[in-house]
Amino acid sequence: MQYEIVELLSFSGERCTIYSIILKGRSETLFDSFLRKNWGQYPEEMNDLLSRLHQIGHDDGLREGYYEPNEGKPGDGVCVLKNKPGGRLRLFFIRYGNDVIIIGGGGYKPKEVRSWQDDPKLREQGDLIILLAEHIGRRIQKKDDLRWSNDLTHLQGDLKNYDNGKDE
Amino acid sequence: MTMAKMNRARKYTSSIIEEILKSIPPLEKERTKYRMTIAARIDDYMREAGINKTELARRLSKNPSEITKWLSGTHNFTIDTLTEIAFELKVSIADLCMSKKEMTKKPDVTFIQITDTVSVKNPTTPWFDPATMPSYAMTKEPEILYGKQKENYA
Repeated sequence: MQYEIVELLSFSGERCTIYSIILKGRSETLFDSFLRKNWGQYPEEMNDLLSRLHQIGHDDGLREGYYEPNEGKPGDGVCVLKNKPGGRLRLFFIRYGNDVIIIGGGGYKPKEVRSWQDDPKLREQGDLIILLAEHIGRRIQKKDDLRWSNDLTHLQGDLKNYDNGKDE
Repeated sequence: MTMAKMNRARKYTSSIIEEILKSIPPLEKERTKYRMTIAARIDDYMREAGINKTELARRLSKNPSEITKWLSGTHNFTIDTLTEIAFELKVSIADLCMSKKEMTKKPDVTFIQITDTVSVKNPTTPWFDPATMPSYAMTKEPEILYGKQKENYA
């Protein structure tokens, strides 16, 4: 997989470092695509999600109660951010403790659908973040080209794993 | 042997993020902020008191799912609920509403020694400034203070 991990300036703060991902060949992050697809239709829920991300980054960090854990494979850190009561928007992210998250995409979960896996659009986004979590996790584990900063609050290394002579 | 790159991620923003952030009414931001702050403080004070969700639910005669809702940072609390929570966690409602930043502005102490016999727990209350408070306001035994001090001042 080829992608760039970028730090989201508007949300990332002293309490939590917030990243998103730009896939090779795209000009915007997975999170931007999510916003573009959903803001027009669900402005209130979107406002709530963005305010929550800002608060997580700058004030209290990520708290257990703020998200639904274990949405991906065991131990991969894939979670879904909760929003307004009754809200149907789902935003996937990869969690590394309470200090670092990587936001992916998401979408609207129709009422008639029991789990996000049952909706094709949400499933596409969920499967993508699961793949990314696995890939990034492997790179961190190998300590090959991606590792934690000394204070464990930032990723460092080859944040853009292409255009550098490497081809994965 | 090649040196591993140690660079950090590129800082990124986009027009869509900026546009949405600008469009959020300040009041809506405040609402979200306080809901999340209260959830975070309840979480903190529960840890401090060594109790989990189930135990808090038992003490307040609530369903544990209610506590999960409180901790989600999306709940619209009533004053009655906040009073019950604050009472059980032995803090004030103001303590539950204070952000991490506001908490770090207060003096870096948990217990303040007022006299050699009296100590007052002051976790986070913003208006609590020992320098401007009369000493009798902090005693646990008013009858002793009133008795002896009354004689001294007489």
